[in-house]
Amino acid sequence: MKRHFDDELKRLKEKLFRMGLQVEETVGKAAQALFERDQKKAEEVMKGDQEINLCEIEIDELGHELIALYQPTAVDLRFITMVLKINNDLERMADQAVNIAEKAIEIMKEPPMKPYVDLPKAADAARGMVREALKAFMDRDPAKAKEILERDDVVDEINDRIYTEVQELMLKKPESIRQGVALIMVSHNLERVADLATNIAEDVIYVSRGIDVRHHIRERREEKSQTA
Amino acid sequence: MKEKIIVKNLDLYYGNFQALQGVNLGIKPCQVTAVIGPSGCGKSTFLRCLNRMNDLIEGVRVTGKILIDEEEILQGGADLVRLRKKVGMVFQRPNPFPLSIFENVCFGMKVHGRPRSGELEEVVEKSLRAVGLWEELKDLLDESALRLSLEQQQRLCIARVLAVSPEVLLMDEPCSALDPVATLRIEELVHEMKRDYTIVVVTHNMQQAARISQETAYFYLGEIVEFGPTEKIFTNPSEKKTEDYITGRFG
Repeated sequence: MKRHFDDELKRLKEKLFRMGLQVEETVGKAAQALFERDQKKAEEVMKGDQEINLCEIEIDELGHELIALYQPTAVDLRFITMVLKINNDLERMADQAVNIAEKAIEIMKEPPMKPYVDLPKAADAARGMVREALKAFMDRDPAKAKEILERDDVVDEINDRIYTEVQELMLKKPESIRQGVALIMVSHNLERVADLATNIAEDVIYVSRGIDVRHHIRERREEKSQTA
Repeated sequence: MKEKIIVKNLDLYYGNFQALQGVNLGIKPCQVTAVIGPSGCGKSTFLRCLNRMNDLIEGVRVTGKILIDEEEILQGGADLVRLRKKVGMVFQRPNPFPLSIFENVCFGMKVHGRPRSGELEEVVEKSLRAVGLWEELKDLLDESALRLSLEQQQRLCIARVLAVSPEVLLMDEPCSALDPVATLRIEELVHEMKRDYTIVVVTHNMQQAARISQETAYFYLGEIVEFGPTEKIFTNPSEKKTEDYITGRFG
């Protein structure tokens, strides 16, 4: 049976996807601003955040409206609640991009303490995870979503490596501490972006299979019921 | 958007009992306006004012103004036959006549004039198509309408109204006799029809009002408590009374 509710769900989905693309782009731009020492780009990222915040509010409003007007159940309910959560995750990713842009401007004031090797890798990996998570969301593809969960470790490892490397540099050259701390924070921001992308992937699995994969919750519940 | 129907200071009395008090409302064309409220709040009475069906009830007195396309309909001189052709009505229980499906659909056309030859067939097909019945009933047009399922009967009653080319459709609890799936299908039909018609639906199924309407009026004790965009009424109403009613705390 044709439901005009489906047109509304499609509208919500497309709105979220458009916001997602914008966020992915802004993460990439923030990283470029740092690597290319491009102040203009960094400022664009900070300015663009307002627009993303507005998108977040619009999606929030539309999601709540659809819940109030259509009383969704089962997969429709899971879908709308997922959209609302992803919406929140995307907005926080954009905030991470703003943090990176701010640090980029700070770092530009001094000559670079080291060439960027690992950081671009982390940026590419995090951005790629966002892109793939959005694709999995659009296609409601739980298999693709699962792949993304596995990729999170790569970004975590790079982050750990950067942390150790920069720490060592700072010990050797205390005058680079300010820049070093900023770089560690940027690396952490990218790691957060990747984490948020895995949240999206988890939500995609939840909506398509009805299975919650967050925090290994199923295994924990099983353990709990066995010990009880 | 220019309003199709404007209601000004409408009061209605059944004898000494005042059933509607100072109702002011503008109904926009080509959209669904829902009227909700607890039993006895005056919502059906209000709906019946819009094509003067209350005239049929003894002891009814109406004051105020109702303008449809800027034409005052409450005055003595209004042409009631023309009014009811323009403002059709669908009732709570499907009420097909004990006639064939074909005769049911073209009944109004025959009452309203002398259709030319071939016109009846043309309009019956068009009307049945509009309500999604043509494919399933085209070979059964001579069968009695009473043999249809309740949902088909209700669709047929809507087709019967559409056959006389109305501009406004009044629907009084159009789904209350139907099961949930048939209800959703009729709602989809209403959604389609709003492209061509101004629709006013009275319902005590609040969820239905939420699903199908663009604007909602909440009536209580014969007065409008709140009127506005449906999404506003159902997410963040301005009046506490409305919120209490739609959240089920009252009513």
